[in-house]
Amino acid sequence: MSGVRRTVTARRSWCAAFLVASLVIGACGVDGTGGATGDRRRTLVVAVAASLAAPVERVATRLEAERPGLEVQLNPAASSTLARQIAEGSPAGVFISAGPGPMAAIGDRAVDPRVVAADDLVLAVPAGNPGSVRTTADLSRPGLRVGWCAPGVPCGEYARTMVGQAGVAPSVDTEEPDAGSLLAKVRARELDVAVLYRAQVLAAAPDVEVVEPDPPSDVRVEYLIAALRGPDGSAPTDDAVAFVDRAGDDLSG
Amino acid sequence: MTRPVTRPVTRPVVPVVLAVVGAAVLVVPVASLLVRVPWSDAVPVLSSPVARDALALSLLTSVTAAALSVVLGVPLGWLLSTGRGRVAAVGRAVVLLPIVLPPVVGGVALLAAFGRNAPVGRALDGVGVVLPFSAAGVVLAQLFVAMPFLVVTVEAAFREVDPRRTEAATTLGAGGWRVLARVTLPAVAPAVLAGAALAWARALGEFGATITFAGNLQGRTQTLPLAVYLGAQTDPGTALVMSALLVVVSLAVLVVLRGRWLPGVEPLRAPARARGRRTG
Repeated sequence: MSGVRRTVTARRSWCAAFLVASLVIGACGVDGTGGATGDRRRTLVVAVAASLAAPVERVATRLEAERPGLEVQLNPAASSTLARQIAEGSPAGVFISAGPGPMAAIGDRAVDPRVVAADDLVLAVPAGNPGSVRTTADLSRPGLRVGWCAPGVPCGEYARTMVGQAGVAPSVDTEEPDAGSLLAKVRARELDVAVLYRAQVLAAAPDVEVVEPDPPSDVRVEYLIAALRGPDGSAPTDDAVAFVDRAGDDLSG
Repeated sequence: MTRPVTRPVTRPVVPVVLAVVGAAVLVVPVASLLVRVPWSDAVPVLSSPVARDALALSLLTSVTAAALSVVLGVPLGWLLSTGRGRVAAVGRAVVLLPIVLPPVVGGVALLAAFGRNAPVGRALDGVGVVLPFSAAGVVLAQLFVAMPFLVVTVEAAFREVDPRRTEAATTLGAGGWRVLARVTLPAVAPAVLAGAALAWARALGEFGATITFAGNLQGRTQTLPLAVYLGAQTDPGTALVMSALLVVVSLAVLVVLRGRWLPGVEPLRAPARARGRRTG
């Protein structure tokens, strides 16, 4: 009896395997012919520092409207993570990095990097400032829930510079993997204060508010953008170059 | 190219090829990981403060989560196994949900319940219990994703317990509690062990719910998977060594499970009623 059951189960699982396999093969086939027959559909992957994802999303939407058939996919993450993905051969066509370090780390896959936006750091608090944060020194106040980015991630390194220059030893509750997840925790009101990029915080209004760092911070962050060569050294695509130009107009203006 | 049919089972080429591709998908990444690990750095990396803290926290939280899974999950599995009809089906679906849910969603859900602006979280805050950004929060996240594995394993085993044995015990005058303790629980013990090991392995590997709900801080909430993810940002070598550690631990669990799994889950007696099984 159990033998019969097993046979039935085995047959059923082969069917499932075939179904999955044929779906995969089918999908590949459609994709392949689409590219080969000159269909105008194509995808541009933009690896973007998580803190700049919101404005870059708008650039993507505009470029898609200008260039029929183009689909822009954003890959927002910590710039350091993105640099590693690109160095490992990720198919990104454009890289937008917080600070020059991650851009330098991908070597000559970046073509002619240039500054596309500048920013500075602020104290980000949930709407209404429930923790009554006034100064940078509040980062060390007991009972306050404090977050910044992990070491090695640009937003974490800049935050350490800023807080160090203020002479504050913060009591941190979480070190987030990128600026996006840090902002999310402030937005959810789970953190009382976090060290974040100003533009990103302003974009999250009214859920999140800016408290100016006191003492004032002279930490400046420059975002660099570059069209990328393919992993095989091929030249950047027209779409990638157009994206870089569009972003240069939209973001710095 | 026809072979004489000597046995009823033949293996057509296409599924075999697909099976090999499937196996490669599973094996190649792990094998490549082990090849790339800088083994000569293993000792200094594993004795670094970050790795030691992460390993200690991972062991503490995952063992705690597995123990809590047993304490809460065995009764839950038992209760489900006694249910019939729609109620049991709904109950089973609810228990299974965390297995199929993306762990990040689990983390968001935990925040919605236990975050400090959530009703339960605020009540706990009032009595001084803070779960987000704490080791207790890590355990809760692990419990959420891991306990279902134990529940489904144990529930299947409870259903396989031969009713004649419990009936015989009852006929001999044993009360419900005594039947459970003397007859039913010993019968499902192997499944409890298997389920606990599965739950522990799942808790050890937990990432998404943890980082979403408990955040990341060395020594407090940074478990091994979080340390691997964040180590990869700055020091890929460290991440590789810690990944290898997780692979080795997980393999060890599987090897132990191989012995426990069959008696725990496969019906040795009364072969027919193989229902209420794992996701399959």
